Amino acid sequence: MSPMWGSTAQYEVIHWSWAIAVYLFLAGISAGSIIVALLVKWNRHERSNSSIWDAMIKSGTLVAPVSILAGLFLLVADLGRPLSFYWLLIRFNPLSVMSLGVLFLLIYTPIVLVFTLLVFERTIVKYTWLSPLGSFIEWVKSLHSYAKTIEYFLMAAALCVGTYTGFLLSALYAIPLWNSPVLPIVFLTSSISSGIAVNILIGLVFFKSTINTESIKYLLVLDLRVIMTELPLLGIFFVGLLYGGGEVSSMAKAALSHGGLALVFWLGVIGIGLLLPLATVILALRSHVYRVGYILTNATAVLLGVLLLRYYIIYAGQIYLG
Amino acid sequence: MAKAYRLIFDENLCIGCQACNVACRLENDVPEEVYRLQVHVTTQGVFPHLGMHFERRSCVMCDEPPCVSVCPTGASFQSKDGLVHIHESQCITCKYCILACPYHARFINPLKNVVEKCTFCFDSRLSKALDPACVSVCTTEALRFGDVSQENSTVAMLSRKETLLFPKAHLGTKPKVCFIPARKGVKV
Amino acid sequence: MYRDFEHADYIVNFGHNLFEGLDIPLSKAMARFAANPSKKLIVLDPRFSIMAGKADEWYPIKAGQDLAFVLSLLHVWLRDAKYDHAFVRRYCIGLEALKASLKETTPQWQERYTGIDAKTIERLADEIYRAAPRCILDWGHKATTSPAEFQRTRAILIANVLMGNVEKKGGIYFAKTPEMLNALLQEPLFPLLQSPYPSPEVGIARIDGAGEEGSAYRFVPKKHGVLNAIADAILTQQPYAIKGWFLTRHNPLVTVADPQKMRTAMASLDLIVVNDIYMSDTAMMADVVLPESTYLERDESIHLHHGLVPSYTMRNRALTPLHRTRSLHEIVRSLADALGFSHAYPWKTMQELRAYQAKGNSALLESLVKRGYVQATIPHLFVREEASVRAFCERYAHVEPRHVAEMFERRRKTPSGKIELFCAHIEKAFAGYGVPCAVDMDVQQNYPYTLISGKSAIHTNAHTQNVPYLHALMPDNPLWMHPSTAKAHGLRPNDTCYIENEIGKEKVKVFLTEGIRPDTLFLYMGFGRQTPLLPKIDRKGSSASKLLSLKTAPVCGAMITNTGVRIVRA
Repeated sequence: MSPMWGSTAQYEVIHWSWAIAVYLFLAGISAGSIIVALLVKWNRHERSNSSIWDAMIKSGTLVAPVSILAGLFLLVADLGRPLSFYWLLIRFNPLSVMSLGVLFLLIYTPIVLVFTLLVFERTIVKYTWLSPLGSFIEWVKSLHSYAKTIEYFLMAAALCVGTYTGFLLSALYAIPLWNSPVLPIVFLTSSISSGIAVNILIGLVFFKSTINTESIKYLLVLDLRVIMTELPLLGIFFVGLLYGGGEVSSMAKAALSHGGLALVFWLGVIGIGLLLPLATVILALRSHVYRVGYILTNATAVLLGVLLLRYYIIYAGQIYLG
Repeated sequence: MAKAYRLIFDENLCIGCQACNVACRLENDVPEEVYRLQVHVTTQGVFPHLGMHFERRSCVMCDEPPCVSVCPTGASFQSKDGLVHIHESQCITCKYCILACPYHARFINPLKNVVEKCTFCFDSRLSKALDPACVSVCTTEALRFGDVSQENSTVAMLSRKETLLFPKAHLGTKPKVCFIPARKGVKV
Repeated sequence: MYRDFEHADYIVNFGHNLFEGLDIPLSKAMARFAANPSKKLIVLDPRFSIMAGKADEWYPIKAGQDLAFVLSLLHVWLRDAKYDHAFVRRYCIGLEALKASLKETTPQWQERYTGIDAKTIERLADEIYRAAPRCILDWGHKATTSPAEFQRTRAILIANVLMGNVEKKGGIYFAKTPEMLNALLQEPLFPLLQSPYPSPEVGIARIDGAGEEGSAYRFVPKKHGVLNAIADAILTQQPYAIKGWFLTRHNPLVTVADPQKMRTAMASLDLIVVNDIYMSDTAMMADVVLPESTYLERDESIHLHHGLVPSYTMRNRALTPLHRTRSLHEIVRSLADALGFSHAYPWKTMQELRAYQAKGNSALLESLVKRGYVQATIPHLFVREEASVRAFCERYAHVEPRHVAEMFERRRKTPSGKIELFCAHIEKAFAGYGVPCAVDMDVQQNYPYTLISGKSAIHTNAHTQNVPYLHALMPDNPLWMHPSTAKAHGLRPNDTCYIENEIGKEKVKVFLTEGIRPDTLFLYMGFGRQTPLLPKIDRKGSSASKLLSLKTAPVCGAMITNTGVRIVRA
């Protein structure tokens, strides 16, 4: 029948667009970088300022608050009515993953800021233009005795932040491509991998002047381990969808094979984000050539892959609705 | 006893004339380009073995509404008589509910910039014991509305007599809108 | 003749698309019928319309071939003597002439015309006969026409007659007019209305010759006339020169065949006055436009509706006119004043008009003002339905069955007083047309495709296309085409191309659907307009009228709305 029921444009609107994809990426990086920073901190015993590990800790502590604040800003800006965001702060729905997310972010963000101040205490004291924070720093210093407790809470909050984004999407049974229990695991893993990558990147560029071959080799192998975790997880996620009932399977097939979006996945997420670093690492390990350049390229490629994964999932879910 | 509203859409009687579509727009001041209600008419099959199908697309007023459980501010809420409403002032237009709705019934009102959907014409009609606008204008009386908990209501009697299909029933949303499927024509 | 859809068990529908060409009471009755699983609906239509979508069996009959289908049905019934013998014997003449004419119109014969299997005809003929008299063969209104329109509609009516459903419940019936019922009941239960308008003797020949001796349109009722004759009458100045045209609520440049010719004809007139609520294509050619208020803004006169029970309706305005418009009654009355004819009108205001119509019946007027609708509740009377007549006579003690029978038999509408299966007076005027026969069925005329058209439920004729809410639903009318046809011409969805024949050429947009015969094309009507003051629809969509010829169907003068076309690439 020729269409005579009016425009169906409202059914094709992409409601969560690039801003949300970027937010998921930033939330993931924030949680991932702080988790990695904390893990490194808890496992390294030397307090050498010039080791790569210290650089990674410093990087994570810097990246985490910056990215989460940028992400929160994006979230509020993307709202249809940004000025009404305060309702999120005064109303709570325990059934809503978004509401839970707001709660986690409200706990996580101040703690991460406090942690940043603790770690960069000496740097802040050095710079006079940060002196207004002085009295605040004094109070923060008094928390030193609780440092370990704060770090545990921070780890817990970061895990919540890193995981809730996955549940945000997977809770919607109306969207076949999101409604998988594997999605939160994919997102958490991906966010940790992005945390490793960004910490290496920022750490090398801003906080470390030299790095030795052993460390490079170690980082490359770390990359390898992360990719070998992510690839199978992504595989499990999509295979799970392909074996899903009815429209889940056909939507997944279409999303993986149609048009530009499928290209984003295969070229961007798999190609650049996973296979390129994998190839680089294997090549480097085989030929025993360890250059800093490889690491920087790999880290950037991984980050791009993680961003594109968020983008792909967000868009594919809303386009291939069935 | 609590009300148990039900809206029965008889696909056999529907002729796809869109009188309901237009009445809804007029009753609820729906802005141009967006719709609270449409009836989609599709031809299925291969010539000459064909079937024509009529599908009402609008909020189905779930008893277990996913749009309510996902709303972070409680702007999307369910009243005591099971109807799902939207508190315009509390809606931050985060669009989570639009994505959560398996029936794609929600949309953003471009003038007010809040989320909107069919309300069974609650404010202007149902709260005054009138049927929703679409039900009242249907050319062929394909829409029946009422309280299924009342034994002698039209919807209760029809529910006892006819085969009723609840859209996407497997999702457990328990919609109040159901339909009597077409008995004729090829079904693909 | 009226159709009792509600109580029929079996209906054969000949392209009568009541679910898109809405006629609310009939559409409602058909919807209820079609949704009833114990009833059977057969639909014949080259297109899978909404009506076809509700059918138990849909036959994509070739356009214009309804007549062949019906003649074969009649053949089967006459061959097997399966018809209402008693009714035919008592009320009909010409049976032998009919039998003779239909000797060759077998189910096998009709196959090559309609594309419907002979076995199907045999089965349907049997099913209809078994369902009789609670069966109806529905001749429609506004199904697209072929030159065989007179033959086809008459053949369908004869099919009903043979099935003996006349004045039977679930069949067809004559209107029980107020006069008939008042006489039967011997009390003026149903008010008779006075006509408020003068009907002067015009005294000169009609330009279309409708109802006039010796004219090709002598059998066309004067109140209908022949629209198709107007353009030629103007251009040829026969039977006299026409200087002006007053049109009311009529848009012939869209709804009548060959608007190109009509435009030329209209351009030659001295004065064109158009009364409409929209600045239609025709209004754009007017010297004077008299804008009318919409139905919500005007009080109207009392209308008497015929059927089983007479009913009276009266529209009351819901609001005062938003702009400087007037109702048609006000316009006509003011014009009468200006022209010096006030004396011919026994009323000045609408209130006075209504009072005049009702002959002062204040009870009727009050009810109509309050509810807008009055219908007395009397039992439905089907003259040949025993139970119905009994119930009626029980209710009205002084009425006896013989009074009812007499009321029916007093109808003398034909020269012989009987139902004429062979019409001598038609045969005299149009040799060969006295009895149903297989003629005039070719609409495709050596073209590869037949173009058909129809209404949609969204728009009303060629009026409402610019109304914003309706326009949003249906802003234009793509051409329905079967995918195999499109493939043959290398066309894809939404491509543009042209359809043309000897009358005209029209640009179209392609809509691919399985719901149409590969040799047929379809357009919803009311688009392809030239309405610069209705910008939403100006030059949007396509007009099938541009490809229709002003030639009319023999005997009945109907416009022929099926036509042959070819497809031309852009």
